[in-house]
Amino acid sequence: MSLFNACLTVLILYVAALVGIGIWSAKKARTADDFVIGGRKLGPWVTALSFIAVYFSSVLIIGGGGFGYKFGMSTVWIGAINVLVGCTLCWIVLGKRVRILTERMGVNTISGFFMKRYGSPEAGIFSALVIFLFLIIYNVSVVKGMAHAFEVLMGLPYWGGVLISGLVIIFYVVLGGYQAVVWTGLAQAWVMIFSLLLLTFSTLNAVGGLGEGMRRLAEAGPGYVDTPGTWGWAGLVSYCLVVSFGVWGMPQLLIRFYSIKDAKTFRLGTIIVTVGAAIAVLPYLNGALARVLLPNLENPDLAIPSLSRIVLSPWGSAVLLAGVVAAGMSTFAGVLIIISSSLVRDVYINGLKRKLTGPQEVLANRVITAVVGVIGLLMALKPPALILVLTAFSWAVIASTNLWPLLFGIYWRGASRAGAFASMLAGSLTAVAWTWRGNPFGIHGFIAGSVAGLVVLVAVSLVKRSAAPPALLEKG
Amino acid sequence: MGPFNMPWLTFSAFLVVGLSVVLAAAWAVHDIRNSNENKR
Repeated sequence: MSLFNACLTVLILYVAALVGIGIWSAKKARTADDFVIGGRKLGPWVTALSFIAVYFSSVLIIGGGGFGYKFGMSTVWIGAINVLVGCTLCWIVLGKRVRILTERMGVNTISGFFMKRYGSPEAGIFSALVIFLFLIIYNVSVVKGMAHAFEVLMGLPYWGGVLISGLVIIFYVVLGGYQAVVWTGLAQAWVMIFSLLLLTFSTLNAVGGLGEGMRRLAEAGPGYVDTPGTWGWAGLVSYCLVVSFGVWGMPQLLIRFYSIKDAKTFRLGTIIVTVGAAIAVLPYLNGALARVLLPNLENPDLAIPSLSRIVLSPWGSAVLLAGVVAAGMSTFAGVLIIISSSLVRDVYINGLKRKLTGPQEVLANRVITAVVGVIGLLMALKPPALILVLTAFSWAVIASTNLWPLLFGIYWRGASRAGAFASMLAGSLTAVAWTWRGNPFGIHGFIAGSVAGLVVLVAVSLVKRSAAPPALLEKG
Repeated sequence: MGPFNMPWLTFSAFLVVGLSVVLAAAWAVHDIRNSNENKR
């Protein structure tokens, strides 16, 4: 059995399963609320595991392995902080309150929360436009990462990877909306978990166990097992914060707190998301250990693909490819549904005050999803130079815009309409300007943007006050 | 030197993952107790 045929067999089975889930979930997506947030009745397993599936894309596995290869074991801290800050603390601090308040206010998008909480159409529309624009760009980078994985793991040409993965995703998201996103996300999370565990056990076996692997890695250079090792504290800490605390402002992840069935479900959900997200440390660990077996790779991003060729059978490599592709597809799908609801629900219905009946809103979401999905694929096939530059901005700008108005909006009654909008402007503009200047002092644009957003929100709210909505004043 | 021939600071990353699970479980227990007290 050749590698290509094994990959093809696994992929055909995998795509068939996704299409099946898509058709099944379409029956569950009857109303506009079903299509946009799954009707707020999802249980702990599907919520937690689809959160992980959208959080981690192909970039985590291939790029994380590259980081591990280049900088060594200190990068395992990135995965550990992903778990603690990006999952556990995020769920504990935001989850329950977001769920309770958004239901009381009757909102079902992130931007919709800003409109209601601050009585501020301008904050809602600004946030929706930032989400719409920068998530499209973020999605281009997700597709690129996925198609790149097809290339290095299976030998499929780049355009083939873009089209196969992209068209399957667009098919099931158009059909089943949010329901399809979370149920395929559940399946994809299991594929990711299984494939990363398989790779890790095979790698540990090949290097003679964890202790022996570390001893041999230290021989390659002591910096590869130390923290902060060859990377240095500034780079390591700021990167950990960006990819973990940034989650607190990312709508495709926060939406899971809206769609969970009740506040009690967070108890089991938080435990599941923490245990499941622990796979985040594995790409870094495998990348670091790859140096023991493959000391002279020119491109660190080839660490995981090259490692899989020497420690896995063709079938094992095919399963790893499925895991990497699952990571990318679930992220693309989760982002796609958010882009369409921010345009239809936030900008068109709430912002421009247009009316749509339920079936019209579902149809509008389906059309926008298909159009935006195809635009994303076309841009990924031949990325315009500007888009490539902007992908570095996307995560920083979205998180800097949404993070503080959300966190203060659910915890501080004094956070005011003027404060929230000023914070969004200051956060997003600082993040853009900082990234544009090439990250002065080695500090990431998200750090600069979120510091600016925090200072402005508190200062402006103290000077220019406005009343909090009644939903925030009730106990609970 | 910590376990598995790793410096303690590096090994602590794995401990943080374990502690996160403990934290999630502790929060769940706290939330259950809290809601029971509110019912009384």
